[in-house]
Amino acid sequence: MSQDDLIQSIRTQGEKALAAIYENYRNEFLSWIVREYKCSMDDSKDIYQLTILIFYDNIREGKLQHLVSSVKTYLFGIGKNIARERQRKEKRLVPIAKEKWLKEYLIDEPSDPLDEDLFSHAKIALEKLGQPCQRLVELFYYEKKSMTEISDALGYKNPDTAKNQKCKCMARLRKLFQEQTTNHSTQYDHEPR
Amino acid sequence: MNRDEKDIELIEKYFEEGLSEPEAAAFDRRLQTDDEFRGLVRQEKYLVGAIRLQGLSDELDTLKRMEASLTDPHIKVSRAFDRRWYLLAAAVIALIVVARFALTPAVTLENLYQENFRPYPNVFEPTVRSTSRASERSRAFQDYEKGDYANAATRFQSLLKEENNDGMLLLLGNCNLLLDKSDAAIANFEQLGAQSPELAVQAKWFLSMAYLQKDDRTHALPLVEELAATDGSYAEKARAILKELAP
Repeated sequence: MSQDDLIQSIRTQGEKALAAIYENYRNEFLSWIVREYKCSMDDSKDIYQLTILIFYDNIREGKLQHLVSSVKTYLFGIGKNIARERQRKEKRLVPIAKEKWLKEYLIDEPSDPLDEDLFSHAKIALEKLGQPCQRLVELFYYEKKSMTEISDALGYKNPDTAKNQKCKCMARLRKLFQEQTTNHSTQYDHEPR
Repeated sequence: MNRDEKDIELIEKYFEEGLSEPEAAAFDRRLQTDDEFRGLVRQEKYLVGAIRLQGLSDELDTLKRMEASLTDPHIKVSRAFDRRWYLLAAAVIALIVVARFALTPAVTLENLYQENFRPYPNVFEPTVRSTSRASERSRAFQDYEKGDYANAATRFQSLLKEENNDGMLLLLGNCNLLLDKSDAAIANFEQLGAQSPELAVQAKWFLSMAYLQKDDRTHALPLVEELAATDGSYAEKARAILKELAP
């Protein structure tokens, strides 16, 4: 299987192909990260799990469509960055803060660093949104499913109905978020902090 | 459509990466000059971020469950050992070896199966947040995760009649192993090995487990030898089994 075929199979088969990748490179990756960065086994596993998530996310987001190197080189490249960040930012004896790391991966920009409070409000608003809206927006924004696929998965009449529902769900989510920020007296002044 | 609605539509398009070049240029200009607009974009960024974090967290849980079923690799870290420590370590090893031969009962295939078999985790359809309309399919995975292997097997079997699915077949084989139905498990893993290149290694490993459970050394040994010769996830376990089986 070529590297591009592998990417295609991850895109179409999702977690099943990912599980196979996880197992295939795991031992070599863990051995390398323990030796190279003097990480504990637990830290190395955390770094590997984050690496696999980022790899999968890059494929799903369309950021990674063709590999110029091998999957192994790509994975080790991501892992190296995470291990270095870890060494730079965190205390060695404390477990890796994986959720914080993921939030920074999703939000952080040099001009607009992560605002933890705002993220918490967004999370609470999402929890309050409930089903099936939660699932619908996840299928759209995370799994990158088309309206036809969403319509099939959630049993809507047609893709237009799914699109209409998605707009309503997002409108409700924005309203919940605004209520949440207002209730907590957060001065949301639309300016990066 | 009022101004806010138009802006929201534009922002949604931006997050869906659907803006044309001129639209994207106009969007960037407004970000620089319009505070209210910048605030709306920031709000959307955090909401989409929270949605995506939810998805990533679910997948992270799946990886954690999978990790829990794997053994740690043996890693050699070079350290400057004092000579005395080597002598002490050698003495301890010698003691262990003597004690092992003196006290350990003969290794049986059943023992090797019990020591090495761990059910494969459900990495195929996480049941973390099921919708209210739980289908037969999601109930099968839920049963498996709960450890209700008899029910899970019944459901997987009937689902597999409608759809040939590699993940379900792997978990059905695991259910059969856990229910001591070695022959059924062997049939499942042979079929899986023949039809799924992605799960071929897993199929081989669990097939070897099924033969160990059945006390069938003739069929188990070549499979374990094949796995031991690779550098995959099961190689280390396979090499340990071979060591135990050595005459």
